[in-house]
Amino acid sequence: MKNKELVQKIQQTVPTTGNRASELLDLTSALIARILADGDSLAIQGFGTFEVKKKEERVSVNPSTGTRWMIPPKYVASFKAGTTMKEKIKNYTVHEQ
Amino acid sequence: MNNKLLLQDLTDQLAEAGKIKKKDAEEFLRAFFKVSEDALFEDGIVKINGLGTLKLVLVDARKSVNVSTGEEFEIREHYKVSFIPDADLKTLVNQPYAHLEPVELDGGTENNAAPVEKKTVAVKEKTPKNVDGNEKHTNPKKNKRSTFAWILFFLLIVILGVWSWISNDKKRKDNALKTNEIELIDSLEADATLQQDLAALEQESDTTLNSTSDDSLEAVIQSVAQETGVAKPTATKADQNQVATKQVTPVAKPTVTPLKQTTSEAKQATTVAKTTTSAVKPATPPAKTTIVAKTTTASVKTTTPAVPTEYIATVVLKPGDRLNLLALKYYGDKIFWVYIYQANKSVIPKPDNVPAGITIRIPKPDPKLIDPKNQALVAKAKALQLQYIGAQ
Repeated sequence: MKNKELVQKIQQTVPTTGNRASELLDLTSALIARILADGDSLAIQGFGTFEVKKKEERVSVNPSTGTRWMIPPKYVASFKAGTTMKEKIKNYTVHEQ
Repeated sequence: MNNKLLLQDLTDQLAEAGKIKKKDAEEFLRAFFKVSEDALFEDGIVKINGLGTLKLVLVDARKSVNVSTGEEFEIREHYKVSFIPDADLKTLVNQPYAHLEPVELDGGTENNAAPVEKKTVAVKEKTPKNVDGNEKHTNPKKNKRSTFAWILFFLLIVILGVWSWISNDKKRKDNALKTNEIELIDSLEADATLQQDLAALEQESDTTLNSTSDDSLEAVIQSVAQETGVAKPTATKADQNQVATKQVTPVAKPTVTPLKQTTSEAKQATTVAKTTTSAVKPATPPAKTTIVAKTTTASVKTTTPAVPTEYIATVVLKPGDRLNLLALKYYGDKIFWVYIYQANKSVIPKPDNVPAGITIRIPKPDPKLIDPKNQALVAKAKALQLQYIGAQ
């Protein structure tokens, strides 16, 4: 689903703030991004957790030239599905099969 | 840092930022997550602008072992949620480590230091060559006769000078010594080839004059030879005359020690003179070695004048800063780094490896050149990039 459809769906679901859905959605994304940039995590009940993980530095070898490179550490934004969502995913899998 | 925020915190922030009631904000957020979740299960993928993409991906079945019993069992294929953050979120989150870049481990840093080392080596090689060339340049045979005549002339003047100086008082002697020193040092800076010629001649004159029975004369000559041999004073021949007379006169008198002092001082002076000449010479010669030539051409290349424009910012580069990141920040596209480079060519030796600590100026973006949406301009910048990177 694309962002546009998402906005439309939200507009339909919440009539009070629906007309500002697009603006509020962008705002929400920016807020979550800032929370993650600060190194905090955001847990949403029934949905999941947005958090930042640190990937340690590592040595990587270029397979064609054999040169060794030190890849620096980095922070990566990640999402972990919550328990209720996980259950749903299980069902989803069953449903697919 | 490391705070665990909940929906409540996000609601508060949204209410404040969006200037809406908290109740509305909460309602909106709940709807947002609900719709997202529904969309995820409906389509298997949901894209949220500014955040990233949530996707359900299939994980293949695999075998695993029960840790407590050691029993093998199969994990059935299943789905899991994968989250791919947007590029913006990626860079934002990785801000603390943004300055780090992959480093090649097996001696990859040699390229930068190499030119400097070569230059110093070239200088080191040159200095001994110059000295050798000067010392080897001794073929006095041609000038033997004429200079021998000159030496005899000196001796005459010396003897005359001795007699005239005997009648003078001691104060004048001291003055003469001082001027003598000064002239010696002056003459030391003259041409090196003449020095060797003279030295050789004086040796000759020594041998010839040894046959003469006059003791005083011999002593005088030797002292002259010593002085000139050590100090190798050269200049015009008239100068030599003066030097010789002034040097020798004190010898005839009981005050020999001060003269020796002056010779030792003269020695020092010669060494100083030598070092200075050797220090100066490597810098001045017309680019004989290719390395010197290369560096000069390189400096010429880098100093080509940049187009004078208005500047919107000055940036002191931190370690890890790159021109393309600055371009992304100020112009909206990495490719326009070439214009930052153009404006700062004088301080940036290598565009693909800018040194930290230098101050660069960001030129005001010219709409005719910089527009991320105009493909023609992007292509133009790409051509420039190829030119700058390709030239390296």
